[in-house]
Amino acid sequence: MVSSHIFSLDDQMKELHTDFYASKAVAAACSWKLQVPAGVKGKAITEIGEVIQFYDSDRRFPAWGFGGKTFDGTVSHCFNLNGRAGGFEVGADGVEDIMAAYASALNNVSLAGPTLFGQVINTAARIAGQSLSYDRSKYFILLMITDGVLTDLQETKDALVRASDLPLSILIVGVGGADFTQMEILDADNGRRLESSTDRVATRDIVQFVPMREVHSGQISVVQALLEELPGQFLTYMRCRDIKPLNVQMAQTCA
Amino acid sequence: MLEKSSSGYRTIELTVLSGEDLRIDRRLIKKNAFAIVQTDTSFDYCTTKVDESGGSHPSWNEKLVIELPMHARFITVQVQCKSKSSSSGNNNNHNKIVGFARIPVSDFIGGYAPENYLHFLSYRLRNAKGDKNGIINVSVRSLKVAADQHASSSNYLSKAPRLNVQGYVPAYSGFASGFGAPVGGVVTGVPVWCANRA
Repeated sequence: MVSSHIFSLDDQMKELHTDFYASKAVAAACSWKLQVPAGVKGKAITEIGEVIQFYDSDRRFPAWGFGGKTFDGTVSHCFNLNGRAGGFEVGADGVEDIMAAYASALNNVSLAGPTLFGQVINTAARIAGQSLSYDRSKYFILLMITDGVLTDLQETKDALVRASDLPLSILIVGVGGADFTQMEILDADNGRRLESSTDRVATRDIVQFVPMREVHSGQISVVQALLEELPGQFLTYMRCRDIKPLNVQMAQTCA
Repeated sequence: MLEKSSSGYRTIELTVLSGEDLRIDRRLIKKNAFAIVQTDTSFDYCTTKVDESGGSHPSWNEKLVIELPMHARFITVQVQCKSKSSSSGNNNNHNKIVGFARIPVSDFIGGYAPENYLHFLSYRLRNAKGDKNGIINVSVRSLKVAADQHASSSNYLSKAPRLNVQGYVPAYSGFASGFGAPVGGVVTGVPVWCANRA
């Protein structure tokens, strides 16, 4: 029952993607705080990545870590998992390559400092914004996996409010037993729109938060819960800008 | 070159879309909300029509074409509630202020998105005391950048007709005292669509 629901959602997304709009792009980021075994976060990357990777046409994903002391000894809140400064995309084999990069980074990057979300969100927003220059039908998904409570709440809110005007949705998975009350604030499911420190209000809800312990405690799939709002967020963005599905445009041109 | 561009202006299209949860003294307003748009560089201003049916969630969908000087930093939007007495005569002093929002130019120029991107932006409206009195929703698109000589027109703000009723330019007999700055301001009601879309 549960799985069939996932598949119908999955099919819906796939249809939107392959038949109507140009390729979407996916990015993943994983917190480096090791309160939860890396294997648990890896499981989250795999489970969710395996569903959303198909919406990326070339299956090459930017993948970052945050809250780690990186290869050159500096503390970073957004570093590339493959260890290189430029060319941050990993993998042509999708999730497997992300997992490989994650595993190798675990050996080279040590835990450091607080859990900051702002930089990762801004980096994803910049990629989404810059893509608009050459393709307005692309939509981006940032998957964030964290076991820590974020310490830059206001900066994160500011980054989310700015990003709400861009083709971007953010999926946050909380793993482990931390108190994730803050995350529920970011996920504006209570109807209250996020507000920035400058009185700007989020254009739309772009965040979906799911604590992963629910996967183990019940029958509800974390993947299902995480992806539930994505089709709506995607369509809201495209419709308010009157961006037509590609094959509808073609049909109109032919007619 | 730098000097020239700093004295030039850019043309933007600002659509005042709607308001949400508009309140005066914590109470939801019943009707007759309208918005006044101004830049931080000029006393000129422009108003939307009065929404008589939308109550505390008015919908205006009114497109304004604004010639925004390069040195402008903000566009301000003030929402007021038109009073009964001002609808009958010239006494407009009784319009009530719902709240005020400042739209930083940097929210739609110089960010991650390309220059001509259609931005959908929302802001918290506050009254003079700082109370949260609702939300204003707008969309903004930057149309073009021009050098100084074209900015000789004194009109920074001009009004395009509503999108759905072509050629309809609402007349505004009265509004807005209590707005502060614009004493002797010029209201421009020039429909620019005929030049742009013909």
